[in-house]
Amino acid sequence: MHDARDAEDKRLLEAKEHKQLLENYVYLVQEWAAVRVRDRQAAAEVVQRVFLRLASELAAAKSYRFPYRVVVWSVVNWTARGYEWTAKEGATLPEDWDAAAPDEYEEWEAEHDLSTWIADLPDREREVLDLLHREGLSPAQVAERLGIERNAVDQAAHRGHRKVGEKLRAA
Amino acid sequence: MLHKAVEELFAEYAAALARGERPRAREYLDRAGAEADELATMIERFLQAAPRPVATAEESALLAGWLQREPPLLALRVQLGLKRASVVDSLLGALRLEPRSRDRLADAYHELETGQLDPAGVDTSVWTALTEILKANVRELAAWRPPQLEAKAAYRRSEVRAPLEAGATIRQQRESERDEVDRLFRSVG
Repeated sequence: MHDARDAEDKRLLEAKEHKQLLENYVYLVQEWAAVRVRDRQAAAEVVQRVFLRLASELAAAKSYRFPYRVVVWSVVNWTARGYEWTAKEGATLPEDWDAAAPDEYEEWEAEHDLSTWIADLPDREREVLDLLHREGLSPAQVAERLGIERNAVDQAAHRGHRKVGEKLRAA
Repeated sequence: MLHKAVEELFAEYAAALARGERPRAREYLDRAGAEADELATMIERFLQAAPRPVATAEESALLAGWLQREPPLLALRVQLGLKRASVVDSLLGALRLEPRSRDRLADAYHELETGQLDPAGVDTSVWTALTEILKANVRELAAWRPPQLEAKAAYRRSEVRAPLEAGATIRQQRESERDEVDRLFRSVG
């Protein structure tokens, strides 16, 4: 389900459009940092460290074995985990990010595929979440595509999201 | 204190994301109370799978600020090709202030733009006016503070401290003449 955005990231990487590539991750990195580091100022520092790190790697033409979104998440994860240590010791981050081995990456992909979480939802909920999150349609567009009322889309999305939440909580 | 079921909060967050909004996990975690950690894990995993939104002008400015170690509000204004003076002039008009308040308004805007002024003390009318002038969610950008990063950052902090101290001196001199600009920009502290 990540094919489209992975392809776009690859295009931006090859075209060396690094600014646009990183801009597209600003919201995600802020959110990932917020859920990992509760102190606002510390989270803000983690975000900046992540982007400085990513930008320096891009400037050095570093190549990656994995899709860029996995690289970004890994750098966030690693920076957040190491934040206390680096803040205390004043140490800089190591040169190489802690890349997962290929088999671990495949496992990671399987665990973070929305399609597996929505696979056993009732048809309408699955359709709605699929169109919202995989195709990126707005709720109004989903209503039009499925020929149903907007309110029905919202209700199906709410039920579906709750069930996905239950799965994520139990995982 | 009663907290909404964590699945309900997650559903709200995911639905906002699906509507193309920028829900802030921190707000939902605050509402989750003792279940905040569970909700954090759910949101983190969901964000790894959900599509990422297209960058906004504010996010572009934030990134520029982080990479150049400059305040993002300043980066946004530069991106828009606006002089600080023209923003101040627009603010003066939008806030219906007297021309004699222009210098004080310029000082206050400078402090806001460079992360030296607590955004909590800024009046809603200022945010509304700035959002119109800069066409972006300015309030979020103004929350930026100089990060405490490594040795270079320490040097930079001293650079930022100079205008901060100068600003404090100016504030002391003008302590006795608190006016509408103070009410609009410094209602806290």
